[in-house]
Amino acid sequence: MQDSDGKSCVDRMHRIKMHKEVTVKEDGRLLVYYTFAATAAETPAADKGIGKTDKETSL
Amino acid sequence: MRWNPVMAEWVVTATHRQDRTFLPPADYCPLCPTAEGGFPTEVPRSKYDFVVFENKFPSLMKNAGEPAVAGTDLFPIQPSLGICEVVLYSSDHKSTLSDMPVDKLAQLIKIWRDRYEQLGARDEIRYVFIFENKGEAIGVTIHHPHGQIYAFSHMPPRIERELQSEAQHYANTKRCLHCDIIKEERSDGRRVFAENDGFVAVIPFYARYPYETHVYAKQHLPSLADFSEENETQLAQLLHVVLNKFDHLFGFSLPYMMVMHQRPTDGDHSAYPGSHFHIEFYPPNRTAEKLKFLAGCESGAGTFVNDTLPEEKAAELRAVKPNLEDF
Repeated sequence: MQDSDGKSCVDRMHRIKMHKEVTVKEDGRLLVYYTFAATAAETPAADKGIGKTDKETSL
Repeated sequence: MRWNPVMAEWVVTATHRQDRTFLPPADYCPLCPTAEGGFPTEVPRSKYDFVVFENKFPSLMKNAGEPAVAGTDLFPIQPSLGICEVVLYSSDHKSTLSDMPVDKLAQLIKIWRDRYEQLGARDEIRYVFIFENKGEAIGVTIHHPHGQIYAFSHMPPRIERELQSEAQHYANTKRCLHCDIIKEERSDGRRVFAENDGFVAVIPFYARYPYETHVYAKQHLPSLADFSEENETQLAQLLHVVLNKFDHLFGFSLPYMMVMHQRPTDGDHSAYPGSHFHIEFYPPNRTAEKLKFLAGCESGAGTFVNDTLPEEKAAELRAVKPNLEDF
């Protein structure tokens, strides 16, 4: 199974990093945004640092 | 929660859920992003990839109050302790899991894993139950693509029964019950309708619904927390195939219940040597027009009557060939 660029999906997924931004709604409920970006080796500088990786202390 | 001494199980009462959002028009979907100048939804941003939030109308609560009625020795009560979360798959109101490309599905699997680990790390949580109800035939009240997670402080009865069977089989054979089931299903082959290197999709020998499908990790992987990145991608690939076979079976987006069974989170991992990650799908359709209802025999006696043979239904799904560019 390959992508259009000829790279296997497995290889490509290995370079995907999950970013998590933990927030709390006005009524106190947890709300977490998840985004995914290529890891440092392939990521343009402008794309780095999306979200935060805070621990879910609000839980 | 109220204890049913006859069936020896807890029943959750959540009267506030009577007022939950019911089939809102698409323009007022509470799970869409909040548009500039528009009404505020559950997600205050104008776009998102994936979002997880605590359910506004939870069946289980972190700070569950005392039940409205006092218990007795015969009828014990207990706070409905736990956490209910909603997982938004996409900001696109009309999309479904089967529309997702494999890499996006793999991202969702990472999120399921993260929620399993985060919620399971809490002392009071015994079981993290990840599921999706899809379609009005299942009773869905909001169409926006989303799943749910119930983090239970008690062991749900169907899970408890499965754990008992796993433990008994392990005590007798020193083997995982599910590994043996996979071995036998793959050896027989008639009920398997899709597989790749890591996962297999089967309508099990003992299916209760005509198109009931179990997706198993071929390796002995107790939970999402035991997945490698390759496992995540393999599962995403097979889910992509299974979901698209479902949608091409009758030519419409097939309703289903999707549930995940995996290792409990209430302590020592070695306490559950028989836990084996798998996903179970229960589509209600028995034909394009007819649904399987849980009627008297199923609801009152607990015995399912399947009007079909799993071998024949698996053959139907094997024959469905969705045109998937990435498979």
